[in-house]
Amino acid sequence: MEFQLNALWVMLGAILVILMQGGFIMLETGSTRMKNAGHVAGKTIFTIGLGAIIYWMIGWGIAYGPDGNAFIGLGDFFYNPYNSGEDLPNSVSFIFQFAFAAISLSIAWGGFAERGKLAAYLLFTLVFVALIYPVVSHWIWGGGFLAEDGAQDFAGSTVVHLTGAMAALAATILLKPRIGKFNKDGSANNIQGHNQVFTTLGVLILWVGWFGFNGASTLGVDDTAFFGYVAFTTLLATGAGAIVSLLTVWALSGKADIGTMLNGTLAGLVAITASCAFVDPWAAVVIGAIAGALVYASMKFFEKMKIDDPIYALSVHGAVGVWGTLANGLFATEELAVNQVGVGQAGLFYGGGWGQLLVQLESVVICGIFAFVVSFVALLIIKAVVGLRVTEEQEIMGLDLSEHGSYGYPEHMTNSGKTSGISS
Amino acid sequence: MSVIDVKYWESAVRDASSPQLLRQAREQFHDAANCGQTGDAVLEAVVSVNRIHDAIIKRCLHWSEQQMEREGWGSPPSAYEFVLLGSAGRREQTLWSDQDNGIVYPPPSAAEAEHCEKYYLRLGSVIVDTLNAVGYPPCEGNVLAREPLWCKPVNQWLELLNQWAGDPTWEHVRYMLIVADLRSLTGSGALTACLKEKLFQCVNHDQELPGRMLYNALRHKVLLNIFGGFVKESYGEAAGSIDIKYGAYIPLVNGIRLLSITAGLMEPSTMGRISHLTEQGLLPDPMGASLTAAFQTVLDLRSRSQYKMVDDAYEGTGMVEFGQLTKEDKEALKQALKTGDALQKYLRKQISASR
Repeated sequence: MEFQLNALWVMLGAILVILMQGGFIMLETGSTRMKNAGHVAGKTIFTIGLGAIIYWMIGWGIAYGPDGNAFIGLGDFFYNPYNSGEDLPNSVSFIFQFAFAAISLSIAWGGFAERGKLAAYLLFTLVFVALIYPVVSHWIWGGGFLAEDGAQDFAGSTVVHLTGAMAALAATILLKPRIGKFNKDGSANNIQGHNQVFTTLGVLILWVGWFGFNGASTLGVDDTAFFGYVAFTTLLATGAGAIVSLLTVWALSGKADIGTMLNGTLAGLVAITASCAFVDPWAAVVIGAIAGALVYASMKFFEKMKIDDPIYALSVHGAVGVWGTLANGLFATEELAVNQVGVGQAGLFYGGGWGQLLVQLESVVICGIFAFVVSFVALLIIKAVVGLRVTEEQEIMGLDLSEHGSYGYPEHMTNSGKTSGISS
Repeated sequence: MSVIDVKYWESAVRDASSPQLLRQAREQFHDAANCGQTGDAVLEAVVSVNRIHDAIIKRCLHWSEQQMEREGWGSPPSAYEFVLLGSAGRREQTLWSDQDNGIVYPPPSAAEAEHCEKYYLRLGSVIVDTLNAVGYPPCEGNVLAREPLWCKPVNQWLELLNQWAGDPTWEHVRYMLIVADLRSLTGSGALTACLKEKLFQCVNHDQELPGRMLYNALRHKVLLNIFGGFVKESYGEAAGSIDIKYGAYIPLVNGIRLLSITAGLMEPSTMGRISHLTEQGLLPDPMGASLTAAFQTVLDLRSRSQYKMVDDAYEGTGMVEFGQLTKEDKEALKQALKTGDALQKYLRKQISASR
């Protein structure tokens, strides 16, 4: 009975994680301009489809193939999971793991937004799903060398979020900023997304889906239904992220900016992803709260560095992914790390000393550098072969028309109106 | 530090024989006046600049009346008052302010009403165009003498004030606050005084109105965050600049104006209002002194704000590049913003207590 229950719970989790793509579609589309809406939304579905085939052909084998070593998995290419699996059907396991790979891929698209060529999306999907993501997931979740060191990353602050963000960073550096993002004097312009309601709904869908993302990462239903606790810490951290990000931007800029609050909410989710199974409730609140403030500082930092991060993927998934992973090294409790999950040891504040923190640091540094370097090289090659960025004319006209020949909003029209008031 | 020779420039304005030549004179005046006065000289410069603006506007009004005669309208049918509003009304125009104006004329007889209405609306239109030709862009909010709302006989103005007071929507309250800054440029000033008295009467007899005005006055917050740091522009060409106009100047102007309305002060200039309020004991002495210093700082920084030519007219941005401020400037600005914040708190307390 436990086998079937595990299968049901993890399958439900996989469905929730795949539904998170709906959140990304809303988030990314709402945060970008109307002329690119159809492209931004549609390419997500296409790349998930392409990713599914590539993960089946190669990705799964690199991540979890039985014949590999500490650095790479090998075997089980063109995987057939029929009637296999010990605690969980391998078919369910495959779908669940693929769903995570697809989330990481969608995070990477944040760096391509509003100027990437469709062909570049296609080719990068091949590299990312066949190699970059599977290698990192092998290191931490597939019995690789970081797993052996005791790296704690319960649902993927590093594996999923940091990896995707590093690919996004490589892409946005190579693609260079969108037309109009920075002025000649170096100051930044705020290129506003076209629909804040879409963005907000996207965040809500992601939040709901995250209960599957983190909760089903228990990979089963044990006697204590531990997934409930995981979902509980996830909820607390997210709430703290939303509150602190709003208060931070309000206190510092005088404006209660909705976009920052939404990013803070996601930051809470990203930060608790690594630690949701390892920390006490109060620590979950602290982790989410720090993430909420950190994401705002990071958004400002990247802008100052003149790096165009259209949907703030570098801050939400990158900077906060690092924080979430390191947080384990501070807040992991012995009871949860050693007795419940059985990975690593207690963090600095729970008598574990510096050991776990150093392991966490090792994992973010190694995985971050690997994901960035391989993505950068792959994108350089793609740039040389087919090019990464659409032409200036195509970018101005919008990717809906230039890449797909029709508008996401065929009847869209601009509306210019002037506000009025007495001069003073 | 140079002092503006007001007499010389007033005479240059009088000597200009056409709007084009007047515009040239105005540009020369810009160059002469824009020479970085500081301290007390800033206040002096603001007074001088506004005297020259008044002279230019009067000159334009003179040409406009002449044009009316050429168009066959004859001379003005009554002793009207051409009124200035906004910063011009408060005598706080910068070199590149736009135009906000209106016309108040004596109640005409029934037989003359239609002619008067047509005459003054046409005059309003001519003068707005003339001022535009001299480099004063029309106010985007259409507070202009060519608009029927701002060109009326005094009896209709009074009726309108009654209506606004009876239905204090956001827009109506805004109009009433605009009236508080009225200043007549021509005529005896009796009609303008009559309007202001009516305004004060409305405010004093209405429990709700001061509170409504308070919301409006507090709309623009001072640009300090809760840690006492400056809130700068994040995006666009002005990124890194500080919005002196809306983040420092307007909060002070709005706050002092509201206190003056409730005190029934006729004086339109902010500095004059601060003096009167302090003299009458309506502002504590220390607050009056800090407000005077704060307003001086803000006027100084505002005079250094950037301006650009838009559609062949001057347009101030109200923005000052933060990096160009000295350490002393920043300290003075921080103090001014703190004073603005204290004023807003004081207002909130005073108005709530009086309700």
